[in-house]
Amino acid sequence: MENTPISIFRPSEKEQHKLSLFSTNVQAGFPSQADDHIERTLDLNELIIKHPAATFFVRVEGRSMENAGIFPGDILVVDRSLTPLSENIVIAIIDSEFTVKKILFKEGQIYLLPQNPSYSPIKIEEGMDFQVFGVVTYVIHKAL
Amino acid sequence: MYALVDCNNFFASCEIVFNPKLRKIPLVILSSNDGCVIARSKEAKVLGIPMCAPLFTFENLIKTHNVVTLSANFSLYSDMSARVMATLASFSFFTEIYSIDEAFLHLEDYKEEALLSLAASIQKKVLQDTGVPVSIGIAETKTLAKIAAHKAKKSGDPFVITKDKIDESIKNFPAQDIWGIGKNSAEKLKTIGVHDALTFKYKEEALIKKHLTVMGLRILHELNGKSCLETNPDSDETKSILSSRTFASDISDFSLLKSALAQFCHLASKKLRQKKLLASFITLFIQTNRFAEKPYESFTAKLKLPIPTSSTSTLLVAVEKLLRSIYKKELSYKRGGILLTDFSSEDLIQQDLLHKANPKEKALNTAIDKVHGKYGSRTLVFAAELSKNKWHKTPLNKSKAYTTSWDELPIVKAKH
Repeated sequence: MENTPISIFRPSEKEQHKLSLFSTNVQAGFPSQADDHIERTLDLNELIIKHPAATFFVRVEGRSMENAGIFPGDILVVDRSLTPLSENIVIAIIDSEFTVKKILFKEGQIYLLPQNPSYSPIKIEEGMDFQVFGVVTYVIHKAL
Repeated sequence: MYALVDCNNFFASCEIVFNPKLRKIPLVILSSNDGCVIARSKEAKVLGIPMCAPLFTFENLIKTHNVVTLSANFSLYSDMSARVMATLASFSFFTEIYSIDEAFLHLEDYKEEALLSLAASIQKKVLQDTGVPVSIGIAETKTLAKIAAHKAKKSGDPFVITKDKIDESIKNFPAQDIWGIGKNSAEKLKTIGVHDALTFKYKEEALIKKHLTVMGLRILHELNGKSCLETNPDSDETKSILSSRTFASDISDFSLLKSALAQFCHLASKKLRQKKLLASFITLFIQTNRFAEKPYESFTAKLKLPIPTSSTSTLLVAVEKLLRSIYKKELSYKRGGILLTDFSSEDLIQQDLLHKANPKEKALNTAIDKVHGKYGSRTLVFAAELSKNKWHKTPLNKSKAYTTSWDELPIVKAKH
């Protein structure tokens, strides 16, 4: 047997997606243009959650990220399986607390930047209690 | 080849994912009403707090070492377990969930380096995606994989038992810790000179069979690298349903006791209906407090049902009868339960000439189950389940349902 383990992808075992037949009756003669549209329901989970086992929701308190469009009371979709890239919005653990910040990798250093001029950036130093919990992929802001 | 993936201090680890303040401190998780320890963090284990100990027995330790105690948060743990299992599923053709925090992954026969590398990838991915640390043991049989996992837990690194390394890996592994061997079996094994997994492995079949029957033989083969504990399809078959709890405080009032038992009955019969089964036997038991001054007493009563049933209303009639037959008003009870046994399928019903099944009951139970499914199980109860007082305690110190309730999401600060 081959030595290198391979990744095995499994089909999604969520609710079945019903595959509709064509929406109009098939008739002999010219097919209608409308026949090419197969009915489908849009599922928000499919759009927002790419890695269900690693996706968590958190709620925001505070205003330090308002310039990034993240406001108090918003729900953030957090994916732990993603490796953070510079300028991603992340949930970080600083001094045992969860915080939401923009992460910056610059000249070998890590910075956590607020998105509000009233707040100051944090430079991650040796020995600081710092960990990334996950990367924010979507911001859910209630309009009503 | 099997990999046994075992979460480290699972319940405690789940709590730590959402509360980083709990890292590196002694933490114990308590069961809902007993106040018994059902999980400990590494630091709590080091302090010597044992499993299944009632809270009050180590109150001093808690004060002097600032041990944090949390009530069990099963909504959180089962959700996190599902995430761990889903993550594991991508690594194997067949993932067999063994318990809330353990799974067997069926693997191909890779070489040792490839297996170690695979195990390291699994550990890393589960930790990254879910925050839960796991230990991994790999071997040709499940019993050996369990031993490997034990070693992996101690060292923190995955452990592989290859064909040629079985003897050195299982030497001095206590017989009592072998999967399927308990204290009693271990005592029997001592009498024939078996004290560890290695001596077990080399014992004569006839002797093992004589002292431990067929189960012991299976373990013997497994230790020798011959897999015989395959998934048993029959193990899916439910043989009994038990619903029982410990009461927050001792109960001697009949109607309060009856309401608790009525709730257990409802829970059990609901499970029965979910599995499309009918029960022919109902057993009710009540027990006094093990830690009280009076000696511990346990009372059981059972009834054969004239027609196999899963109907809560029929069973509640039986519950009242059974309770009256064993209840003593001068005693206080700390625990009670309902056990349903002797199942038959809903599709095959035999009727008693004198007792006819009421077709309306089935419709009633289906309707109730539907309401519970949509609105929650507290919205509709049988009168028998009601009582002025509560028999169950509101959990004192339970963490939030971080992953199963929109109102209890973890909070992230955008404040500095």
